Parts: sequence; structure tokens; C-alpha cells
Amino acid sequence: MAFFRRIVNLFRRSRIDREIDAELQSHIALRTDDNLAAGMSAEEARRNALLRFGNPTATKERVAAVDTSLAFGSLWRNVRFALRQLRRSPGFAVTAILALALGIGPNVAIFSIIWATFLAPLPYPHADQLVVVWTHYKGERNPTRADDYAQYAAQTHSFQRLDFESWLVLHLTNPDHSEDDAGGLQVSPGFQTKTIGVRMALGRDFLPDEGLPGKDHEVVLTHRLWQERYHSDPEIIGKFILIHDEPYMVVGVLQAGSADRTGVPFVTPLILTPGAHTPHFGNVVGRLKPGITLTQAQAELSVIDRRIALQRNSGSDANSWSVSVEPLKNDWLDHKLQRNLWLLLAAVGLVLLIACANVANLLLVRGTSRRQELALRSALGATRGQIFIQLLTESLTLALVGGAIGIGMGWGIMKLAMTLLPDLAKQSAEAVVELNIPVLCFAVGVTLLAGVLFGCAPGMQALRLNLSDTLKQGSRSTGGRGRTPMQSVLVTVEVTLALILLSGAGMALHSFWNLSYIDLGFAADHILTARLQPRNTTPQGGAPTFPPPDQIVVQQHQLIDHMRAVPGVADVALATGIPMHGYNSFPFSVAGQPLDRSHPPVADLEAVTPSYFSTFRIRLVRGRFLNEADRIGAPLTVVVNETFAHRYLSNADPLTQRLVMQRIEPGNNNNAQQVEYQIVGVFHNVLDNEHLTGTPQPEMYISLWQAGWPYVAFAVRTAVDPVAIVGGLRGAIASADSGTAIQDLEMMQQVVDDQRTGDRFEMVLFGGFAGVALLLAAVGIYGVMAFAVAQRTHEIGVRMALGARQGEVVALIVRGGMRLALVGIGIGLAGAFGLGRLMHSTLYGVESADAPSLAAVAALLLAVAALACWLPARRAAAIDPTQALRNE
Amino acid sequence: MAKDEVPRKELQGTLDLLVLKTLAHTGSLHGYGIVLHIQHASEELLRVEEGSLYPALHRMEQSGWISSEWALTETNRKAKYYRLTAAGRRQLALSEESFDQLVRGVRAVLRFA
Repeated sequence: MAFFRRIVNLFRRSRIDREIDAELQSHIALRTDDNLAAGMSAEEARRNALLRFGNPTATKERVAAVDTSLAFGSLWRNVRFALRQLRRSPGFAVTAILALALGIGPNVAIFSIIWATFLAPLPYPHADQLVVVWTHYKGERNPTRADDYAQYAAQTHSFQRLDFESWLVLHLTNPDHSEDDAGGLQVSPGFQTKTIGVRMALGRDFLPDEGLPGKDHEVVLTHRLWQERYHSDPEIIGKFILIHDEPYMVVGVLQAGSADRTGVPFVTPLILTPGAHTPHFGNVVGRLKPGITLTQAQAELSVIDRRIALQRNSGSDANSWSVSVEPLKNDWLDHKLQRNLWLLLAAVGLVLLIACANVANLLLVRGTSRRQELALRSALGATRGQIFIQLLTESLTLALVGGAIGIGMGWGIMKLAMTLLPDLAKQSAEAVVELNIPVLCFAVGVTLLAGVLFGCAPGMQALRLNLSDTLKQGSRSTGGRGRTPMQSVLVTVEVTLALILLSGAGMALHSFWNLSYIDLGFAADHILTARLQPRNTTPQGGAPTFPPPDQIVVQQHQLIDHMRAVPGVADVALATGIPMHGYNSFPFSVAGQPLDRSHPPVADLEAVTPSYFSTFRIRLVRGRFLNEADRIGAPLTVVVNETFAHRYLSNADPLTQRLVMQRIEPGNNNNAQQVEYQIVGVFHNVLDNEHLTGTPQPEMYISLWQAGWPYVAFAVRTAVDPVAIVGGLRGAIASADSGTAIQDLEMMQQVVDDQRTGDRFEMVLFGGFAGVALLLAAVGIYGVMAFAVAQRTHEIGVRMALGARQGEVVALIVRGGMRLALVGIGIGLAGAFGLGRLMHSTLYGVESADAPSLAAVAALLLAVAALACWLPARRAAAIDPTQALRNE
Repeated sequence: MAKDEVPRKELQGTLDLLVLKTLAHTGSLHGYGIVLHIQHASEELLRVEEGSLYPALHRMEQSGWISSEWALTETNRKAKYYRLTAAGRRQLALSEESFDQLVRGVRAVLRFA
């Protein structure tokens, strides 16, 4: 209360001033009255009163100063004093501030990513009302049937709005007549503006009846598509664009923002009527009525859903389905990435702890040289509390300066981290990584916490100060080991934490190394791939029709010829699948072996042109590759990979075996005849899995020239930069068949590199932070050892005067420091083992106790510690005994 | 400064005690009255420096030892009257005790010296 009153007084200054004034004037008046009564003249009486009182203005100020000094005055004085102290020892100040900035910067950077990705509320009005209704099948999340959604929407009372969004791949004709297959979003009208709360940059959202048959040819463009393809045409509203060759009228353009980052270029309307069956699956997103809780909404929907499930599945399967209402948030991020981000936050927390230990150490060293000053202060009447507060103020001042620089540094690290992780922005559309208010609050909080953490060390040291001893000792060194137990503990902690961080970096590096040397089974450089979509084969509503196989083969030959003619193209292959894009499970049997009909063996079946092997530089193990002689009419042939040969043909020569399977015919999945393929070769495994770390699958490649399959992808090996020939390729494909669309154009090397993005992110950041930790730990050890040497100058002089050799002195000092480092490394190894267990699931080919990387980082840290000890030790050995003794 | 006055410096730590004791004695008094009272009661040995009295009063009021109100003097002038609070009474007891100890200690030393 008293403190509060003083603060209030500070702000009521003028009133208080008047009151003090009045009181002093009344005093002088009373004295004057008495003087008059004693017989003085009026003038004399007043003069005497004033004289006795002294300077009233000065007195007034002194009265007012009572408040100030009781409240803020002391704080401000302490801050000013602290700044003066820092200016007086710039070496210390710069080292400490830099250490703090290095500790705080990474925290700011990682927290800004974590905030945007996991914690920030969605940037929509009343985002807490936005929910996703998930269908669950046997406990797993499942997209929801459009029919179910229509029933939910018709029966529920919990939602202001309940909407449906569904993804659909549609053909989009660009203004330059090129075509793309684009993932369009179909939504119930009003989803964007009414439910989510996105604004329109131009035009309007869909009207409630748009989406009904006859009124469904309207489209809303994302800001990005409008900008990139339509050059931000301000007159776009009312114009028509071609989607699936049909004109759609543009009614609106969404505002720039989250919609752009999802990668969906446009939105079309969709209305579902209960009862009328639609084949769509999609996500149900809703906005709760105010006051309705998730639980209430879920209870209501569960009742509705139960009714639907019973109607549909009249039996046991109804129990497998359930429904949940969950808040709309960024929880579809890759698990590994999520884990990495939290691990990195922990890592930067450790970096900050090391920085704090470091600064605490520096302060302790300085505290020792300031003993005299502190002792003098307390002799002059400063209480222990006042000295503690003053030292803490100094620490906090230091922390705030370091924090300010750290925030700047954090911004830089954040930008760097984002370039290492380009997918992050795509994966979470709402995540905007930036330095915003919450991140800054975090930064200030961390800074203050750090200040208190390291500020307590010198404060406690000062509390233990023995006044008379210190004053008596004068400037003489204290002797003994030359460092306090607290300093030893801090150095050990620094080494421990640095080792844990280094081990994390070591394991991440090891994992990335493993990934970089994974045997893909093909050469990914200079390869351009894409899927080709023959447009005419899928008329809306009707069953697709195909030309006979031999005609397809002729067309595909022509296509290859056109593509080969493009300058810069070295090789062209067509295939039903390309490496690293997944595999299928095609049933087959080995001719002559009994067939288990309930569990037939399966393998990935792809039809490829003979040039596939040369284009991808696949290695042959036995026999031969497919070649141009394997054509329609010739005996059917197949080549298999090593895994296939190993798994299914381990007890026979593969080249003598024949495989029996269904002939692949477009449009005929069920009644195709069984045919025999002669195995003519075995090739080295090619990675078909989307994940670099996937296990190899058994594979069978048959010749595309014997299959006549219309849906293919192409792979082009280029002699030049693949990007340079994209235009030429598009032209060549269009000239071969103008109806073919190109989808998913990719650089194979990019596909491989993208797979390593997460791991590279982890490795670079972990490595960077571990580097900072190593540097800080080295500075910490060096500082303490250098200080110890300085304190022990006298003792070393005596030793050398008594005959100790230089080598012995060096050994003495180094031994002292290395003992601390070894203890730290020992404890750190235990911590590293724990970290290994946490990181294990995100690493590839690395044990949780990864001996090679642990040994390497322990050795590295030991070497750095030895260097940090050796430098001051050498200085100690160079001490001239006579000089050292004279110092006394 | 007159010879028979106790030097100002000696007085500093005891000013609080003197003020509290004065107020305990008189019940309620303004600053000028306190100065006069101390002077009279100490048989002119102690003279409170008027410039340091008011900061001390203000500090004691902020610490909750005394409270104040404006009132008229017998000569019809407005003055701020101070009065001891319960906390002030406690503080007075403490100060008196420690002062007694100090005096006893100094006396004992003086006897030996």
C-alpha cells in the first residue's frame, strides 16, 4: 500500500507541491508571529524566520525527493549507474551483450515459426467459432460424404453456418491458351466470406443459389491466379474463363492471403440437396452459434450421424463410423516437422541457458574485482537488499541491450530458416511467420527471465560478501583455487548443455549424410518429368473410349519423336509411372508354381519404353533390358528388380521363369485375359516410394510398346539445364497432339531435394545453434581459466621461484580446467542419450545412442576445451617470478 | 551553531525518535510546534534544523507512523497538525529501546575509559 501511495504521489506532484508550500509558509508565519511577540520589528521578525528556516525551495524539493527516492528514483538511479558501469568496461559489456544476443536471437526466430504454425489464432473474425467436422472410420479421420453433409446441414441447430468443401482436379485454360490441370476447390456458396470470413478483393462471393444445375458455371479466382495469369485485370469480373473447356463467369477475386498459400487457384460453387445422391467426399467446416460449445455441437451431430449410419449400413459396420467436432487449426502439418520444431525450440532454450551461464560467469569475475566497491558501499550504509537490487538492475540493463540486438538477430535467423523450409508456408495456409506482438512479448519475457537468471549469481555472491575481510585485504589476491565453486558449476553446466546440443547436431548431420547417400537406383540430375493427360478420353458423364492399342503405340512413338527433336533433349522415355511417385500392387503368379488364390503375390507393375532404362541410367544386374524388339506381336517380356527376384524367385534362375498376370487394357479392369510374360532381365532396385526412406518394393516393368496404355508420364534427360527446354517441350507435345495437357511438371532432382528439405532444415539449424553453443562454452571456459590464472599470479610466481618448470605450470592450469570439461562431457553424454531417444523418429539410419556422432562431438568439445584452457595456461607459464612476487 | 548545542550530525538518527516522542507527549502538533517543543524539552540543548524536519515528517507520514490534517492554530493561522498512528506508537517503542541500549552502552564505555 505504502509503495502504491508513493507512486500515486509522484503523479499528483503539483497538488502535493502546493500542500508542502502551504505547510512551510505556515511554519514561517508562526515563527514570525512569535518573533513579533518577542518584540522584533515586523521586517526583522520575518527576516529572522526566513533565515532560521533556510531555503524553502530546497526544503520543498527535499520533501518531494522522499517520494521519488522511495519509489522510482532509486530504480532510475540504478539504471543510470549500470549504464555508466557498462561504458566503463566496454570489453566486458560487448562480450556479455553479444553472448546474450546469440542466446536470445535463435529463440526469437524459432518461436516466431512455432507461434505462426501452432499457437497463433487463425486470422479470421471470431476464429474460436470455426470448427471442422471430421468423420471417423474405425477411429481414423476420413473425409466426409457429401450426402452426409447435406443431412447434417439440414438437421443441425448448433451452427450459424455449416459448409462443405471438396477438391477436384479440373482443366484450366490460361489466357495464353496453354492448359493446366489445376486442383480446384468446390464449396457451398458463402463458405469463403460468410463462414470463414475472408474478404473479396473484387466482385462478390457466390449467391446462395449458385451451384444449382444451370447456375454452376461461376468461378471465384484466388488473388494469386488473378495476379499471375490475368495480370491483375481490374475488369475481370463478368469475363469468362475456360474450365474443362466450358465457359465459367468470374464473379469475384479473393483477397490476397491464406487462400493463396493453399495452392488452390480457383473456387467453384457446389450445392448439395438432401436426398439427391452426389459422389463427392470433402471437408465439413462450420461456424458455431455463439454460446454453443464443441461438446454440444458434437453431441448433436453424433445423434444425427448415428441415424444416418444406421440407415445406410443396416448392421454391424454402423459402429465403425463416428463424428467429431474439432477446432479449425493447423494440425495437418507433417508430424516430423512438428516434432523438429519443438525440438529446435528446446535446443535454442539450451543455447540461451548456456549464454546465461556465460554471462553469469563474466559477472562473477567482474564481481570479484568489484568487491572493494561493494564493500565500500555497504560500509557507507547500503543494505544488502539495496546492493542486490542494484546488481540485478545492472544485469537486467545488460539483458535488455542484449535482447534488443537479439531480436534483430532473430529476425535474420527467421528469414534464413524460412528459405530453408519453403514448404512450411504451403503446408499451413494460415501461418504467417513474422515478428509480431506475441513474438516480441515472448522475446522481452525471455530477455527478462535471462536477466534474472544470470543476475542472481553476482547478487548472491555479493550477499555472501564479508565486509571487514574484504576491506582488510585491500587489493591482494585471495589465493586458493582462484575460482569460486559457483563458477565451476556454471562452466560444467555450459559444457554439459553444449555437448547435448552438439550431439543433436551430430545426429542430424549423420542422418542427412545417410539420406544423401541413399541409393536411388537412378540418376536424378538433368531429368524433367510430367504426366500427360489425353483430354478426349474423359467426356463428362460418359464412359471413356480408347483407340486400339497399336494405334496408341503409334501415337506415342510420334510423341517421342517430336520431343526428341527439341534442342537440348538427350533422351525421352514414356512410362506409366516414374521413380519416387509411388507404386501399385498388381497380382501375378509365377508360371508352374501353385497359386494361393486368396493371397496372390503382388508387385508394382509399370509399362515403360525401352528408353526408360537409359534415360534414368538404371543398372542392369542380369540378362537384358527391354528393347525395341519387344513390340506388339513379339513374345511378351518383363524385367524385374532385385527385390522381386529375391522375394519371389529365390530358388530358381529368374531368366528361365515366366510370370502370369492379367493383360492391362484401358477400360477393362475385370475381364482381361491372363497372359504369360518371359523374364528377360533383372535390374538394380529403383526407388519407387515417395519417401526416400521407404523400403524397396518388388517391381515388374513390361514394355509400353506391348501394352498400348494411354495414360503415361514422360521423363526427359537433358543435355542442358532442364528449365531451359520447358517451352520447347510444351510446343513439341502440343504439335504431336493439341489435346494433351501437361500435369505436375517436375525436376527429378528437385523431387529428391524436396525430400531432404526437412532433414536439411533440422541439420542446418541444429548445427548452427550447436556452433553457437560451442563458441559460448569455449568463451566460458576461457574466461574462467584466464581469470583463475590472473588470480593465481602470485601463487604461480612462488611455484616457479621454487623451481616449478613451465610445462608443469601449464599442466597444472590445464588439468584444473579439463576436470570441469570432463565432468560436463560426462553428464552431457547422458543427456545426449535422452535427446537421441527424442530425435530418433525424425532421423534416418541413426541409433538413439549414435556412437559415431557422440564420439565425434565429445572429441570436438574436448579439443575446444583444451584450447580454451591452454591459452591462459601459456600466459601463466610466461609469468616472470620476480615480477609476480613484487606484485605483492 | 551555538557551543552548547549538540552538533546536528549526532541528531540525525534520533530525529525520528524525538518527533515521535513529541507527538506522543502532545497528542497533535504542527511542524513549528514540534521544533519549539524539542527545543524547550531539551532545555535548549537540542535544536532541530527546520529544513530537515519536513522531509522527515513527510517520510514518516508515508511510512504510516503519523497522520496529518489541516487545522487552525490558537493564533488563527492554518497549519498542518500531525498525530501518532498505532504503527507510529510501535515504532516509538522500538526506537526508545534501541536508543536506551545505545546510551547504556556508551555510558558503560565512558565509565571504563
